[in-house]
Amino acid sequence: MKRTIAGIDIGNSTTEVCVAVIGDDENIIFKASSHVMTTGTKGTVQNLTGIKEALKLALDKARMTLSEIDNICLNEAAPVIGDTAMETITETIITDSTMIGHDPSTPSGEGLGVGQTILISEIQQADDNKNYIVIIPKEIDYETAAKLINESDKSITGAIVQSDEAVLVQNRIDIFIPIVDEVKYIERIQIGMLAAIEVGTLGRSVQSLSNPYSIATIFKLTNEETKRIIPIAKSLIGTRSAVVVRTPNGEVREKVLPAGKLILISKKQHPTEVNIDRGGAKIMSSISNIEELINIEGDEGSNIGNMLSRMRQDLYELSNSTMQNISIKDLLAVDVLVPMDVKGALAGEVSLEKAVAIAAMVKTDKLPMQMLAGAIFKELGIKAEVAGVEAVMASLGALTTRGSALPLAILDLGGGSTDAAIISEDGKVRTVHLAGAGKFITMLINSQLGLNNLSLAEDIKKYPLAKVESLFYIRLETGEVKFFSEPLSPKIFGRVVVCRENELIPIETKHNLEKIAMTRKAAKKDVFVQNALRALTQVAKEHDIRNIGNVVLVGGSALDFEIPHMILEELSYYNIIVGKGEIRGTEGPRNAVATGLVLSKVGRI
Amino acid sequence: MIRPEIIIKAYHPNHKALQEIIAGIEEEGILYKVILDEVPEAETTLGLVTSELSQLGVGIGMNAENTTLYIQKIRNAPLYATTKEYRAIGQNAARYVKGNPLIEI
Repeated sequence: MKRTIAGIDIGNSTTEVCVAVIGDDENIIFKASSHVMTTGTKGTVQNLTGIKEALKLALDKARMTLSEIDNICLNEAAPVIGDTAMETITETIITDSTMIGHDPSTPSGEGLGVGQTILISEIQQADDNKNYIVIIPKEIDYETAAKLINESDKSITGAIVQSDEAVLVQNRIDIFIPIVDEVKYIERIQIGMLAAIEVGTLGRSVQSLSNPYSIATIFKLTNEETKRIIPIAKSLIGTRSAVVVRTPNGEVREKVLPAGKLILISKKQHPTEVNIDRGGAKIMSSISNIEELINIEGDEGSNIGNMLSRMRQDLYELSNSTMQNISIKDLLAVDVLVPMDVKGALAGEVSLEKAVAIAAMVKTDKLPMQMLAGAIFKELGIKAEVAGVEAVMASLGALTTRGSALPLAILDLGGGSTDAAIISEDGKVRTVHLAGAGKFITMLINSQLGLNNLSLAEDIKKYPLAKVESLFYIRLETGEVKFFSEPLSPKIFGRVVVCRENELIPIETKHNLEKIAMTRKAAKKDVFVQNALRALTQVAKEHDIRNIGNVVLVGGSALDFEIPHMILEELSYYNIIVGKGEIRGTEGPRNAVATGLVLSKVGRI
Repeated sequence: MIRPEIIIKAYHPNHKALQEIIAGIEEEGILYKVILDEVPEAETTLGLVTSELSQLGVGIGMNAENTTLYIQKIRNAPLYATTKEYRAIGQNAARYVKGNPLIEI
């Protein structure tokens, strides 16, 4: 009997549709496919909006109408939801303004100067036989400041300027001293204190003030005091210029925040506790040491604890399960360094704070897919059924990739979770769902680059970077140069940009291209390479990854321009064939589940 | 030898404004030359003509009212025009030469 079927796959982040006509002789003609963003949490009635949109897209492509569809097949979506959070472990606090370490674009002079801080207007009245570092607030312009320095008979060893005028001052004075400018909160610097100022030599960052023992020598510190200035030295590493002022009560503290702990509950063992501040590697090894993990709990009040209980609550509300049936099944923890504003800073300095980013996966026995199927029937008047388990459908779809064969493993690199399934010759399927996927990478990029802009982080994840070297051309991270016939906007000149299709989006940070690219690659490796190994180990026969022959990568993140290569490189050590899926030879790694749903209707591949 | 410098061509400029432009270029560490005009040039072409004189292809034209920054490669419009942000337009001329991000005016 000839009939038209739409397979619909609702994922954490995308909804995919595959429309096909099954002829009288049971042969399948695929008509069209589409994908849109999932609306609402997967498995809820809110998904309808996305489903309708995706159906319309596919039908328009095939020049068909909704009334031609006889049957809709939904996947039995894996009842898992992923979410992410971050816990900061350290915080740098400066009391009494003791340090400036920043990167004005044009400091001046070079080397180290040590002396007592003094306002430039008071230099004449100062004692002789002392060294001074003059402070030039923005009310005093460069001409006046230079005149005052030249007229003074005191020994001046350095200058701190509020405006962007270091070079202008240097060019007008008779002595050669280090000068740091663009110090925003110059009034917070205490007067009459011993201070050191350093500007790195050409092409180098500061050398003395980033060395604890040099600071100790300059300020005559004891061993105990030297220990306390380590956060200063640490935060000055890599800057081109720096100022350190010694005040009687001033200190820089690296405060360790109470980050809370995770409690891992297992079927077989006593609960294991692991402190989040032990770091990602320790958390991951604790988790992998536990047999049959049944739940993970976090401290109330910590970010992680709040996230875990929020996730359970969300799933509870939508799944009609009891709270007991909802548990955190997996967790991926990654160590990160996050740039944060230093409290009490003088020039808007940031320091890199230690943090742990965590993606978690919450699972229940079943999502209310049947309810969604009912809602589809009511809304569209088309018979809808829940037709198959997601992992099996994905495997069926993946098998349409030429060159693949049973036994086959699939790695579904999604937005909210990394799923793996292995299907043997006799049709047995083993599956696993792990926390951490595309959205987690976006979060890692966003926080590690200090962007505070998730959509920009998403673009950085997806598209290559370039440097706008002239108003007429850009140099891509691969080294290629692309010319434009019309001049580019001066707004992006000299900046690092993301090349999204025909758009160049500036990344307005001080990070250079290499740093941004490195952060992006590291985030992808931390999430997907680690998860690929974890997932395949869990589904493999005898938990030995070498027992797997073929792996097909499917899912939205398999479309990424470097993730499949990273996984290929890693898995090649284990002698595994791995590659991006080519579903039906036309869809790339997308549409595997939707295609599988249609295929399952004819009972053969 | 032609020095690599930004050229500023000015006709009866505001002295303070000219000083600010020069300070902007100097802070960024680029060479410059000021040419004081005796006869007025058409306002729109002043900066453009100036950019053609510069070995760096960057010129600033100014008269009593307006200041424009032109680069030789873009002839139909100034890169920036201002009536008050003189320091910034000087810095931008220099930053353009260095290939560094520009200040929004």
